[in-house]
Order: sequence, then structure tokens, then C-alpha cells
Amino acid sequence: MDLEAIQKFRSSVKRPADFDRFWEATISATNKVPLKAEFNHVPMRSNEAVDVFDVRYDSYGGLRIAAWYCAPRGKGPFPGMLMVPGYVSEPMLPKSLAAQGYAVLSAAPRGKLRSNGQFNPGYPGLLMHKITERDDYGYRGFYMDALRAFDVLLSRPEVDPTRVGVQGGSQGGALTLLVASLRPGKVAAASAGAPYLCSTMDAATLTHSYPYQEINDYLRLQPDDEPKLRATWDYYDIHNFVDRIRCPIIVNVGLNDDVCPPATGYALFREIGGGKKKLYPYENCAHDAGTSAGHAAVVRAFMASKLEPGR
Amino acid sequence: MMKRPDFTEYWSGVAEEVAKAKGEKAEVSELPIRSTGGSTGYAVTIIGTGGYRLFAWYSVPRGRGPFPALLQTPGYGSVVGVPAYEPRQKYVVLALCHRGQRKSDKPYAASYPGLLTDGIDNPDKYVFRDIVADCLSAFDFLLSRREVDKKRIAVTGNDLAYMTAGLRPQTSAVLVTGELLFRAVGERRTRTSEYPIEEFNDYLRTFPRRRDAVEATLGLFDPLGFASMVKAKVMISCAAPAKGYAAPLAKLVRQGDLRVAEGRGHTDHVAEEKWIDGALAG
Repeated sequence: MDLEAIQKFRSSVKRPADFDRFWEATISATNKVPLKAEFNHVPMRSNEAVDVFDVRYDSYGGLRIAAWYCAPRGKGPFPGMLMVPGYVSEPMLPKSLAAQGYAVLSAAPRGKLRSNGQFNPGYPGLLMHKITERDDYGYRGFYMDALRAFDVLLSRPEVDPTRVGVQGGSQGGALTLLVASLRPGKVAAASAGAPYLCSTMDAATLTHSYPYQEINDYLRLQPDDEPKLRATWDYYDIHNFVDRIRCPIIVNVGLNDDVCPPATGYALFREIGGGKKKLYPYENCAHDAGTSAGHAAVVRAFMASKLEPGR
Repeated sequence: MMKRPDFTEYWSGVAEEVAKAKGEKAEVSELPIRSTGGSTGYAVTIIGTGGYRLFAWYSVPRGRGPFPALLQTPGYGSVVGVPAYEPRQKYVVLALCHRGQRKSDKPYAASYPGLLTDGIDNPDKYVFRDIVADCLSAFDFLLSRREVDKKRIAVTGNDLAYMTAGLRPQTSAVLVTGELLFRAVGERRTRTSEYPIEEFNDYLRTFPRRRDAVEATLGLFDPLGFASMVKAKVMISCAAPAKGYAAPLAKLVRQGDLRVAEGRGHTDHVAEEKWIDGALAG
């Protein structure tokens, strides 16, 4: 798809009439679960500059979820950063970011190692887990785990609640957009790379790459289920959340991304609310979306300007 | 880097264990959900050293073989994905989940971080001894398959690909991409706090008295030690900051190319794919 076609692409996502009600009910059910956050210091991973903690908290459905928390040594207050993971990657242990002055929580939503005791659909698997059942679809709790991770980070006394950012790439890009949408007055800055889970049903028709290929694999064997998948995805598509975003946000896409088609990123970017938004398209980049072509430095400078580590 | 005097003996011992495990037959089951118009997908269980059951994704192009083959050695992480669509249309592709990774995580489940230093103070118990063995078992699986053209087998991945090529002279081509885990660790680890290399720092901070033992083990795993054994065509595709320590892996083999990646994934992928296609051309 050339740049003109990418820019002209229109998403087929529909917003269900009860979209807001569905998510209000989901958030309400999550809020009824006590957080029970635990932070256990990990001496082996800590060093002279950064303390590392193994974090556990309860989330939607009562599942126990894991995270890493890395905080600079010293009193603070520090700006906070939530890092949300990609589809297959394990959540990074963000010690080097903490060394730059951020208190960082790196979330491991259900299904990731350390959070997979009660829910473990695997990879491939997560994208299709109960996909024809809107209320029990795997991403319902998964989304709430990411949202709760933000609340866990805010619960820390050394974190300045007015300076908390969110960042991630691919599925982490999707979760970044989700958290920024559902915590509009609290997220101070967001960076979403190569966003996944936007225009999802369209994306599957534009690529043969996993994870979207999981949808193609499924529909090859059960083509009659396409309307059911679409019906579920209209409730989960990140495209339908982002008009609520109010914080400054940057989004980067690779114009040759074969995993998360750039057209779906452009369509999503148009929907982002607020106005303090900037899109960074990278030519000849794929799912790396420019990370090694200068964008890592862009993110670093953007977050530093908004969150002021070391202030 | 000084090659340890017992380097050859150590890896001969590993090769012998792999040869013993070969007596047990692999299990191959068709996976209709991972098959496409151009390829048939399979789930494979390979019996590795110690009788360990290793999962691998296996894909065979439709049509009459034999076909050139790709062994995708695993990266550093818990998940090994289904092989990509495009290579599956033209190559037999085997994507191994080494012991500890998902689908090969019983009885041993790897931790991240943690895997890179598991047992590192004793080379006979270091988990990567078994992981290299797993890669050799996967290579041997390909050699056992009728649909594979034995003269055209390429291995891709990080250090594990290079080591496999060193220990399996039947390898035609090896493409090394991604971050190297074991090349020049002693120097590199002092300049970073990024994982996975930071795992070495964590370990030595916690167990400073084991430094000599760790360095001795790493002396057996630096891929440079395998260079003289690699007979395949080699492409090292590395990021610019890695050029200094990655370049010798290309220079010290008979047919080696070094490519410094542009950091633009599409451009870099196309170049790497073109190189593999050329190396496996009939």
C-alpha cells in the first residue's frame, strides 16, 4: 500500500451503541476487586542507582497479576512511567529507564509469565481466546490489568501523580492508548509505537503476519464466524477508545510494517482526541517503526520535556 | 578472546549426548489451523538430550520436494512464534522452542530475567549447554526428513545459529541477526544496564566470588570460538554499535559477509532475505 492509500484508508470499525456502558460495567467490576498490591524488593536485580521490586496485584476476575517496579534510589518525588508490553515479549525490567530518574512500572498482564497461573492461552492463542464471546473474551481482563497497573503506579508515595506517562510499542502501543483513554485526567504524556489492536478486523485482511494471522487461521477453518468476530471486536477495538485522550501524545508507525499495517495506525491517529498529538511515520521501516532510526531519542526527549525527571 | 583448551572436548561431549538422544523418534502432527494454501503446518516434538521433549513449529511447502530448509534457532524470550508466511511458501521451516521456552517448558520453565545465568558457574550445568544441544537436535531432525534438500540447509538466529553451524558442518548458510548474547561479554557488560546482558552484572554483583567460574564458562560460549569450525556461508547482520565485536564472526570464516543494519526494519529484512535466497539457490 503506498502512502496515499495508507492515508486514505478508512476503518470499518463500528462503535456499538452500548460501548460506553460495556466498559463502565467492566471498570466497575474491576474496581470492586481490592488491589492488594505487594512490592517485594529484589536485591539481585537492584544496584547502586535503582531499587527493583517484584510487584503483585489483583485485577478483573480476581486474578493475581505481576509487574516489575524500578525506582531511583533517593526520596523523590519522581515522575512515573507505566510500560506496557508487546504481544509475545516478556515485560522488560526497566532498570535503565529508572536510572534516568523515572519510577517505572512494567506490567505483565494475564497470560504473561508470572501472571499465567490462572489464565494461559499462549501465543498464538491470546488474540482468539473466547473471541466469539464478548463478555468472556480474553482481552477484557487483559485490558483491565493494564489499566490497574497504572493505578498501582499512582499508589506509590514517591511518584508525583501529576507527572505520570505511559509508553509501549505494538500491543504496548495499543495498551498505552487504552490507558490514556481511560485515565484522561491522570496520564500526563503518552507514546504509542506501531499500535496493534486498532481496526483489527481490517488489519487481518492486510497482512499475513502474526498475531493478526491468528484471525486468518481461524476464519480459514470457520469462515461463517466472521460476523461474530467483528461483533466482539467492535467492543475491543482501540479505535473506539481514543477520542477520549486528552494528554500530549506521540505515535510512530513504520510505513512498511507487515505486522501492524500502517493504514490502521493512520486511521487511529485521526480519531485521537485532544489535539496535542503528533504522528511520526518512518519510511522503509517495518514493525520496528523507526525505533532504531531515531525514534527512541524522540520518545526520550518527549517524555523528558513533559515529565521532567530530575526536576 | 582466548579459546579454552578444553573447548573441543566440551563440545564433543555435547555432540555425543545429542547423538545418543537421536535414538528416540520425533513426533510429527499436522496442524490444519497453521496450514495455508502454500504450506502445511505441523507440530513437532523432538527428543533432546536427557529425553527432554522439545516443541517446534514445522512447515513444508506444498508440492514436490525436496526443498531447501531453514532452521530458526530461538531468540532470547519465552515465546517462539509460528514461522512467517513468506519463507513458508518456498522453504521447509523449523522453528524450535528450546527447553524452558513456552511449549517446551515442562519440566523446566525459564525465567526472564534469569535464564542467561542459570547454572553459569559450572559449564557442565549451565542451561545453555543444553540449549545448544537442543539446536543440534533440531538440525538433526531436518537431516532426517525426506522433504529436506540436505545440501541446502540454512540456520538463522543469534549466537545459537552460529554455534549450530560450527557444530553441524552440513550447514550451507548461516544468517546471524539480533543481539549477540555471548560475544565479548566481559567487555560489553561493563558498558550497559540493559537486559539481557545486565543479567551477567546482576549475577556477579550478587556472587562476586564466582567471577572466575563465570568467565571460564563464558569462554566456552563466545561464538568466536566456533569460527574455525564454520564451513557455511556466513552473513552477520548487526547494528552499528555492535560492529566492533560482531565483525570477527564474519572475518574469520571462509565465506563471510558483514552487513551493518540501517536500523530500518523493512530495508534490513529485505537485504537479509535476499542473502538467504542467494545462499540457498539451487
